[in-house]
Amino acid sequence: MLGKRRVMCTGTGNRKSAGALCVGAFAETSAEETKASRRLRKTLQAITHCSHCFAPSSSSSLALDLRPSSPLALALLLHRCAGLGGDCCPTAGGATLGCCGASTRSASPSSAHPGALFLELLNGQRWLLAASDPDSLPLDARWDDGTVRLVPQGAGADLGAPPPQLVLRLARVTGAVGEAAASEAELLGSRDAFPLGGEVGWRDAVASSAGGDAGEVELSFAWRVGRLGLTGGASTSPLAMVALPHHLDGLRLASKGAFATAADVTAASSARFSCLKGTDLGLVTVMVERLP
Amino acid sequence: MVVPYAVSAGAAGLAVSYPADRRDTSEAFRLSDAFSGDVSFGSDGPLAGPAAVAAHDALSVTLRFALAAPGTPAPAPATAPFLDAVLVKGAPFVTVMYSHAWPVLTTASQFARVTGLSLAQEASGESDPAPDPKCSANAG
Repeated sequence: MLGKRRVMCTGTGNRKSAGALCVGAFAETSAEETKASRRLRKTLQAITHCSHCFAPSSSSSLALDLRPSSPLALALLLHRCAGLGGDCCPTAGGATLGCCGASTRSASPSSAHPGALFLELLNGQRWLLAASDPDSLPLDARWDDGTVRLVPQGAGADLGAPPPQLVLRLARVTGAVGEAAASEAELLGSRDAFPLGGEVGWRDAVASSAGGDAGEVELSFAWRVGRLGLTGGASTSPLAMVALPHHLDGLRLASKGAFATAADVTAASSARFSCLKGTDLGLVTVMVERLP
Repeated sequence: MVVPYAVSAGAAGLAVSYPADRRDTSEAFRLSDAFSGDVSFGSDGPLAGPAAVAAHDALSVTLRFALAAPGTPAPAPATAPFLDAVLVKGAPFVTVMYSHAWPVLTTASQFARVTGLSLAQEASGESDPAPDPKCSANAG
């Protein structure tokens, strides 16, 4: 049973925009939230004098993961000013200070996944940011409270002339703890190919297939595809698109060589997105849809 | 909407939302996903004007955000800075192509972490910030 708890936002500066969004919004908390978590949450809010806006990552998960080992709790407790700003900077005694100033940190994409960064936000969201051609233009990410800049690796204040083209791709990493890793792996593996546009083609299913029924047509989506220019395994990945709920009745899967069911798509992909049309069931690489 | 995301062309660039994170199911027969610019694509300089449709077809729209070029004289058209947002329904990523501009991304919420983690959560490139001597909280 899910309960409702109104989130109060008292931010300043760039947090005003988040606060405005949070007024009247609700965060969902689960009945499984432990007394310890509730105590910790209240303690943190008392220390920081700041209630951030926490959006639930899914309807069934805790909106606030404030277990002592959680990234959020560590960010609040250990990084202190690094994760907070303005009037939120705490002292050990619990009093608030003035703004400690933005603390800027930098990170280089790991060699395991060049050109890929994960942005973890205090509202619980996790985003994958992929950049093009990391071999010829290795980048650093520099960030402060709510801004991240991609700059040439090792650059000083003068970044130099920007490149003629730099492609960025951004995806929400969805899924509860445990599921997110598989979704993340799938997104990483498919980040190289991106759609630039496309056309919808069709053909008579009866004329083209012995299995077709009279009155059926097959719609195919012919995409123009660009690439980030990665090297290694991801560089040969086909274009992956999200299977929308209304595609599922007649979607042909490359891996099956036949038309799919929702269970087929679910089994073939770990990535999950949600939209008002329903839960999107993962990534597919061939978009051929049969319509009666 | 470019399902599963929603986007908005604003004064600072392209705001991207994953609105399902703010799903309101409080009413029995009504479902709504609120837009919020979770992550916004922009650059250091201001926009030179409102976004314009640079290309479109049956399955996509490309929005172009022209950027004000720093300094004078104005650069030649071939090196004028802009960013193109390729919006395709059903794409798992939002794709933005920067031309002659360094990317700056802003978020509605603050960062907990920015990492280049591998899948095994190894090889983190994160480095801790240098302590701010003006902040007494760092001494505690």
